[in-house]
Amino acid sequence: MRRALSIGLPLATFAVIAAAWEILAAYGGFPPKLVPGLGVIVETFFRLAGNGILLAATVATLYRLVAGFLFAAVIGVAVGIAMGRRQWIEDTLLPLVTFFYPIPGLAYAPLFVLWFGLGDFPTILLVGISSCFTVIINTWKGVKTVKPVWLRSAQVMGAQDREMFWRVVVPGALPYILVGLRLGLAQAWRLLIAVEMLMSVQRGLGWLIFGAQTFLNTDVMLASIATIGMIGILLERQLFTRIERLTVVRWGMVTA
Amino acid sequence: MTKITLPRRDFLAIASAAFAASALPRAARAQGAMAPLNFGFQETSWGTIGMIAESEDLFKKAGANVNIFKFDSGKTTRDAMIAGRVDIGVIGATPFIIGAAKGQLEAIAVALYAARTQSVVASVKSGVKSVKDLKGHKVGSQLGSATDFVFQNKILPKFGLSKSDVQIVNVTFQNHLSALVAGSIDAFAGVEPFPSLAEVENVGKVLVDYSEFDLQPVILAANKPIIDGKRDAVVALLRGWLAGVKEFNDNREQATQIVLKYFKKQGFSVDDKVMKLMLTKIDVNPNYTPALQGYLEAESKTLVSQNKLSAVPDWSKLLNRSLLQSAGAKA
Amino acid sequence: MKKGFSAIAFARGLAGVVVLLVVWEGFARSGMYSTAMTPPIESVARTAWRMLADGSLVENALATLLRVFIGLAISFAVAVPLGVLMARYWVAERIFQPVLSVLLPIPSLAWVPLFVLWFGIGNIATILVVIYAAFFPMIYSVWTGVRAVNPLWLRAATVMGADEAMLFRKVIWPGSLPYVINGLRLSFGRAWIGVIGGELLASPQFGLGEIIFNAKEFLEAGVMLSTLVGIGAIGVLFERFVFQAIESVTVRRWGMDSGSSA
Repeated sequence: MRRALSIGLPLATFAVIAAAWEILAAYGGFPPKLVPGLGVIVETFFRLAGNGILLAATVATLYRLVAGFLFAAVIGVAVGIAMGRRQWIEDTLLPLVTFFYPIPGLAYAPLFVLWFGLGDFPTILLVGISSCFTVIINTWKGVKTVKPVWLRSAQVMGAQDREMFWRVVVPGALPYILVGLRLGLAQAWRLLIAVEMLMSVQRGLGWLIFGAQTFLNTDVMLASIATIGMIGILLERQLFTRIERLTVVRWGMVTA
Repeated sequence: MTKITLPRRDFLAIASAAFAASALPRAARAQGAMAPLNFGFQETSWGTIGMIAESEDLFKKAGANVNIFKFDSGKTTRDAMIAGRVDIGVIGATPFIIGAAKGQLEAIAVALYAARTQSVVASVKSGVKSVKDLKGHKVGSQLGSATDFVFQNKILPKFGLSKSDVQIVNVTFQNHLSALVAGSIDAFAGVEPFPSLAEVENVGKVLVDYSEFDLQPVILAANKPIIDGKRDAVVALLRGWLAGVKEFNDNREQATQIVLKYFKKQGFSVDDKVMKLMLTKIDVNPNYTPALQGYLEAESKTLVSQNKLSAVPDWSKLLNRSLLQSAGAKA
Repeated sequence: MKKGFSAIAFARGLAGVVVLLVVWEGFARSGMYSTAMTPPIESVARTAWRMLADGSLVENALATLLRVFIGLAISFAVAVPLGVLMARYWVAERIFQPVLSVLLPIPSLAWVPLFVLWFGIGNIATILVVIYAAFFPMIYSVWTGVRAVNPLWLRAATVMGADEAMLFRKVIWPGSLPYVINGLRLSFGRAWIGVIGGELLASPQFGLGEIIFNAKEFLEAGVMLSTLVGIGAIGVLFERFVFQAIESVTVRRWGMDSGSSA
């Protein structure tokens, strides 16, 4: 029963949203070019999927996303842990991290063009650096909220620095780190789509959305957005929820 | 079997010699081949010749070695040029002037005269019948663009309106139609394809296009160091560009098909009629009309008075004619 | 746990900033890069001073700050109850979580044409963009935070006769507070990023987003950098004087956070 509900509830939710859209499109009084009906969107989606355009654009964007996100994740977690463990690192870096965090990546994108040129590499770097601040902040907080009693018990039990690190600090901070990774990935996505034209990458979902807006192909735009959303939910279910279940849930730190 | 051992010194010597030898033909090839250029254009109606040149491989056919970069607007193209990452680009007048004043941009040709691609469109339900009626209404305009500049500084005054008589709302070109339909604005000053789309969808009426008010040149610009250092390459690129110009003007039907295919290949559905209509509105002529220099000077003066520039650039020096001549343009 | 101002911490932070400035100056003066895009610090400082002196920076910053606060407040008001619901009731989670993970990666610029169509141009559209940006860090933090509350506490309280409301007030809320405050910290930053982009929809008289947009159009790097520095400075100030202050009065005092020296 629970299994059926587990799949049924989200499906029902999406069905309700889809129905609401269809009503809006049919009776809202908007020109069909600006608010296309569900049928048109689905048809366009399959057209673009069928002739490979959507796939090529998605693969290109995903490549940049994953590369940038991995950069942000590795650097972010490493710096965050360093900041949490050593006071002097926190003192030195926290002002810089909180300084850069609220600055939109789009604003300093031209600087990246200036320093690194156009194309995939500067885009990956830009996206990675922009989203690493979220990861840093969350990891740092996570390390700081690791229960001191755990640290002390581990010490008492003779844990060396490295053991302490891998068996107490990282697992202890994991709930926060996972929040940071989820949000960092989202931030990477959002910046990437906006920045693809500025960095003149060859193809991608950003270009698809821009061109769709130029020619008022709202159906193409919505099909692209739907693709992004689908990947989002896939990543959440298959990646983050899974990691959560295998780690923090299993350890009883977070209820499922 | 005897083992042949190579002392490390000798190995390094042979290896580096081999490497140098393999590099030599490359260097020799580079001497004879054309220097590479980075060319950028925007994927809008103003980038039409760029699209044709790419689709038909015109640069290579002219003997040029060109890497093509696409952008969403002349402004981002200009930014990439200032950053030195793009050598030659298609840029609208206002962004070009800023780039010439603050960077090292020079004109090597005119890409097109785009006056008719811009129009003031009023929504059908607003009841606005002419530009004069816009008084007190909200008008959408993409601030900072050449289109906006002309609207505020030339069109409004011609109809006896000042900037404070209308409420200018900052709306990017892509959102003009949505804002119009939503009723947030009663009119917009925009570029193709939105005016055409507005009329086809029956939500808007073109009040006036820019042809009577403005030259609206879109410039083929280059960074000065490139013009000086890679002159032959630039001339070759220009030759390829001029081939595209010729194709567009002599064989409009085929050019339309090329541009249609360019966008359809990316997955967009473009109405044939809209595209044809749109392409009749660009005036592709690479030469500098006599009025051009005066136009650029006047616009620069306005920008100076608005504190956007510190001084008017010397336009007599920034419109390069010799390259066009070398490329064989008919004046 | 140290409270109050620590000179050493301040000095170290300052050192970090100085290193950054030196690197920037190196880039700017190297001659390799166009000074139209990377002006030297002196020129940026002069521009910043001018903007501060004629009041334009402050006026616009206040207008933008107002939008950020309104958006943040609405975001908070919606995200906290929803996050708690999702964490406590499995049904709520199965309904809302998939929708959230679909929306999470979608940039607001993709929704803009529809936003404009449905809500028009104006402050409403801008604040909606801010809410869209600030909502996700808040709800993910609250959702995780409530789920991370020690189940033993919940069971103990229930056994002692606590009903849902009391459970919330006495166990869930304090228990998840570290996450909630962190969510606020994260949302604040995202709200800023959102408002800068969103102000392109507002066409208001004032706003930092307008200034940045204009500066990019006309290649006024000094103006743009001054504004960005202003935003970053606000971020640092809020971290130091707002979020850490809230934390020291709550979660640090309760021993849930080992605290900073600042």
